[in-house]
Amino acid sequence: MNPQRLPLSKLLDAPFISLDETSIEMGSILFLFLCIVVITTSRRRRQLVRHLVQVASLVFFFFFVYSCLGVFGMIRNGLYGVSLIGSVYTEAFYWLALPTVVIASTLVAGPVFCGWVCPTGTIQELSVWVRQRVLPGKLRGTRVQLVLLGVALTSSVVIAITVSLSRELFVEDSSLHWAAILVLLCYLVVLGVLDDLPTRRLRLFSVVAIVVTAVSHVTITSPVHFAFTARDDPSSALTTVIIAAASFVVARSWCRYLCPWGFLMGWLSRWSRMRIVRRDDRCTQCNLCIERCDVGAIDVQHGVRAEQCQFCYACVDVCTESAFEVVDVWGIGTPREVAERCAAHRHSGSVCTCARATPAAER
Amino acid sequence: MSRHDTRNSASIHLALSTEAQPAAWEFSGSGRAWSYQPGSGVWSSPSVASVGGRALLFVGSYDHDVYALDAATGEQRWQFTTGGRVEATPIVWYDGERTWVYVASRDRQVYALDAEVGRQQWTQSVVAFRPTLTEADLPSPCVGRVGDIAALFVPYWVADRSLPASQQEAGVLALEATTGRRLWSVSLGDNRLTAVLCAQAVGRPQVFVGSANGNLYALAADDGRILWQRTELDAVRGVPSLIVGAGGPRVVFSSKSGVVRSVDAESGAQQWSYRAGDWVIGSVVGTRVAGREAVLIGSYDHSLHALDLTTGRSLWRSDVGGAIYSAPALLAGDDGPVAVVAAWDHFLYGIDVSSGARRWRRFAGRPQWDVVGLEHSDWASPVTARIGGTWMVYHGSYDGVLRGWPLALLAGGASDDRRTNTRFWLSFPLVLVGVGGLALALTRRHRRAHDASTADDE
Repeated sequence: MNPQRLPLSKLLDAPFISLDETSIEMGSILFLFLCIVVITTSRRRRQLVRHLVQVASLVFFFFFVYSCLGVFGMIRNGLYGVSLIGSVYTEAFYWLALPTVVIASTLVAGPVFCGWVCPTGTIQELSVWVRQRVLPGKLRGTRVQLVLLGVALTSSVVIAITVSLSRELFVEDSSLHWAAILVLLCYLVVLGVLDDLPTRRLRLFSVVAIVVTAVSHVTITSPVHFAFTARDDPSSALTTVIIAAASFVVARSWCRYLCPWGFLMGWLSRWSRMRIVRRDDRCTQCNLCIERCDVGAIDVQHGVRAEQCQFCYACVDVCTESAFEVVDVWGIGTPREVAERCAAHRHSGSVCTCARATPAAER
Repeated sequence: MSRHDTRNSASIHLALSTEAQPAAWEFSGSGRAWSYQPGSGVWSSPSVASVGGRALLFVGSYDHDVYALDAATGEQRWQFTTGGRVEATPIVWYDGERTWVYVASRDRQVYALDAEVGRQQWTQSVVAFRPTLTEADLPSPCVGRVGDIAALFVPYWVADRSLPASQQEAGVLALEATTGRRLWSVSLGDNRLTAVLCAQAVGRPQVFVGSANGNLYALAADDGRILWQRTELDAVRGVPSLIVGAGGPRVVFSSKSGVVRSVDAESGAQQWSYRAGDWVIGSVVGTRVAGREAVLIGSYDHSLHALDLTTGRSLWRSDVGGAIYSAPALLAGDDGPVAVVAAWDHFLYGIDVSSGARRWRRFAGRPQWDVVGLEHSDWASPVTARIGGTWMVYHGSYDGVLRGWPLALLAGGASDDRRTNTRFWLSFPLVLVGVGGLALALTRRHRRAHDASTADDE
């Protein structure tokens, strides 16, 4: 570390840290609420607005607030905050503030965090954007993908060895394990050994691993952790680079296969008020939406998979037939009740309007 | 004092004729340090004193015990078990007849022990027992006077988890040093406190204490009145230092925001401030640098800073290999005074106080779990003692071992770097094979289900 790198990385220390280190966290909450307001009201040039929010999020969370938006850190912080309830309320608030707001916003406005705010997602999206500019066209199944992965893997090993020679590695550096697994999975998916869909279930094991370490009070730093704390954390930085490189080959591969927070968001979106659904009666099977969806949440047969959708609205905006709609599903019953109602409608021959509010996958 | 004097030197001269020449030793306590819960420290900072003609080292431990060791050999003299972790430095006080050791434990109790044999003399609870109370945070107390009575000043923080009584409470409690009788107590909000400093400032006894919400309090030792207080932007973690210089007595303290501040001990008025490049969580230490009064601070900016006591200007800064989490301890080596600090790169460093040049470094033990999590705990700072003409450096490491080194060994020996990443890299094939196999199993199951449904459709 360069000792001249002064002062603290967080720019607004003085005016914000006044209430037991918690007012600055209020800033992060207000920022997220502002994001949600923008998201729910934005119609024109929505993708441009989304990218602006992503950039603002990177700047805001990297340079202003202390909250960790890391996909491991939010789970760990949330659990730690829960353990402090009843003893140290201000600290409990400090640790719980951000995870709680993200979860609440998911329930109210859909999993917008993943598509609009998450820095790990933004970095991957940037990687996809670069790939589309540098290597246009579909790469899947080509040798280019394997070569790219090989270059990423070799570079990573070289960097990791360099890091290893200069410092001692601990459990906290285990994000490197996740990075290695990600490269392996991308290799096997590209080679056709693994299928994309079942491999996504590994996210659950990511959650289990992080929860177990968190309750054991063991810290594993998140991929983007180095940017939040400006601490010497080469493992986190290297993992972030590998995630970006992997996304170059399989778009948002971290979100698809390993992100524990993404799994939680997907699980919570079952009860989310807002959903993006495809109206089959308007769909012309042009597959523009499937090509545009980075996370692969849409397929021809099932429409939008709610547990994979990141609410980026790309499909909504790209569809020329307005086949995708954002619907309010609260108040129409559980998915099972809606499915039963649909069946009753079909059985009786009456007009069924449930399709407007129910994703195809659940019908 | 938790750091031996009001200047926080963490250094003591014991003119003893020892039976054995001080030598390097290691002590592992109950041997259960491997099971310590990440998030809590293993050892308290030790204190060293002459007891019954012997140099004894007193240290609290994660395993609920307080140990008295022969400071020259590391041999255990006695141990005393409390009801909770002992993270506060045991305080030694000689009343003219007997030497006492005061131990503040997380079981909310203060124990007064006979320093020679470790027998309990009295115990006092900082708050009345309730079953819903959590463990308390009791930093190191100090011994001063309330009027004519020798008193022990105990900072505390307790919390009650029950919903009706839900509260957090911090304060300072004054107990009679020889009986444990309560003299007074003062409430200081609901944030954790630092160790207290007892000092005779401006002709009257005072008690100084910092808090996690950035306050520094000056209390009247007689009745606990708040004489003045200052508020910083971030937590005050280190015990304040009182230094009597040319401008009269002054309190120099630091906060986690990296700011070091010198204030008038009587009024609390600022004299100067200095901002380090990153957090400062250790105590400020008063010393002399090239004939001038100065203070030393270790910072997370990987540097030990020497500041002029009068102006606050930087005299030198010395870079080490990691963020400095400890307070410096001073010793007078053959080549001049040396400050000993501990850093997150797991080394102890000896820094020449006159010039800031590095004299030596020594590997001090690797963490049990991770380094990032270490930041959440208060870890032991080194202390030094001169025993029979030999300087010793003591440090309770986060690897579970308390070590004593003669200065000659540190200054003359090669650095003992035991870094190894073998286990870390060996875990990779295991993880990759495990997760890869799991992914393959999931894919095969998915394909079988898909084939079955296709066959059904046909």
